Amino acid sequence: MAEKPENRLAGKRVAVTGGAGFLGSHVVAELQRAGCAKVFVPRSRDYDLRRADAVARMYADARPEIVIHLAAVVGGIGANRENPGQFFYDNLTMGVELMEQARLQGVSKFVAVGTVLKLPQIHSGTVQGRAVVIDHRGMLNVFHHISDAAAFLSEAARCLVPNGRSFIADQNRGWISSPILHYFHGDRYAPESKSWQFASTGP
Amino acid sequence: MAIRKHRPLSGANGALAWIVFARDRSRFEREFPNLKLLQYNPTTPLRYWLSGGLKRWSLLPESAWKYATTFDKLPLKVSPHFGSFVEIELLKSDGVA
Repeated sequence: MAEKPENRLAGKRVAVTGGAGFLGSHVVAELQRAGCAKVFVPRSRDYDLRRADAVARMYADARPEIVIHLAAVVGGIGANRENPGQFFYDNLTMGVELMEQARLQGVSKFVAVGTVLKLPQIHSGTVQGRAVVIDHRGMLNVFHHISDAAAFLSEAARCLVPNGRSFIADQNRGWISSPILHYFHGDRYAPESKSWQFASTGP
Repeated sequence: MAIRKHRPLSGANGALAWIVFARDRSRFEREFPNLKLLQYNPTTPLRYWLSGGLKRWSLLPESAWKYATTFDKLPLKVSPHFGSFVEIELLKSDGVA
């Protein structure tokens, strides 16, 4: 009979980024109920998780066996609309640094959860040995910001475990959406483009 | 913290998903034989736009939203081309990446 999740968590040291937030506080409560030996919640005033050195220091302090990454740089509707690149860059950087340092420090399990615009979708990754492999990855309304789709797909093919899946929810070229995206939406919309690439407009 | 424009990932092509997985599907299948496109499922013709998207206003009163999901599925029964958004699922095959 399969072991209950609570039993697998008992006695484990777990770091929960974003553990003081709405979702995180509930996750922390469940982890404590499951008997985790230590649930460490890094705070942004102590650790800037966009920086590799801060992430490494956080892992050294917490010594987690499991990392649950819930933290995100977020804003209101207006802030997100005006600055999608900044938010996306900060959140991607945070995830990358947390995963890379987890790999380097031998964290046995890494779970990342993220949402953009639509709930619920789940990212789930597992660190095995020296390579990060991904069981399932969800991308929500961000694929059209990937400036080199072929490079992204190559990386997805490399990182996904066999039979792993990638879920993408994004804008479609539909009869209703096309005129809206073309004339009223702030982002570039170019269905005539022959290329899978475009300028990222970043530094 | 000051938020600056023109950071990485600020660029876009809103048609990219359609380009890669629908228009250029044969190229996708040729270049990524170990990624199988399980579904390209157009969805949500009107609901997002009627909600105002990321704007503060909504074209529908709150009391109408309980009917919006059902109503939103009707155009898709006529044609998937009504879908304003798309759900895509890729499966990594057993082969070497």
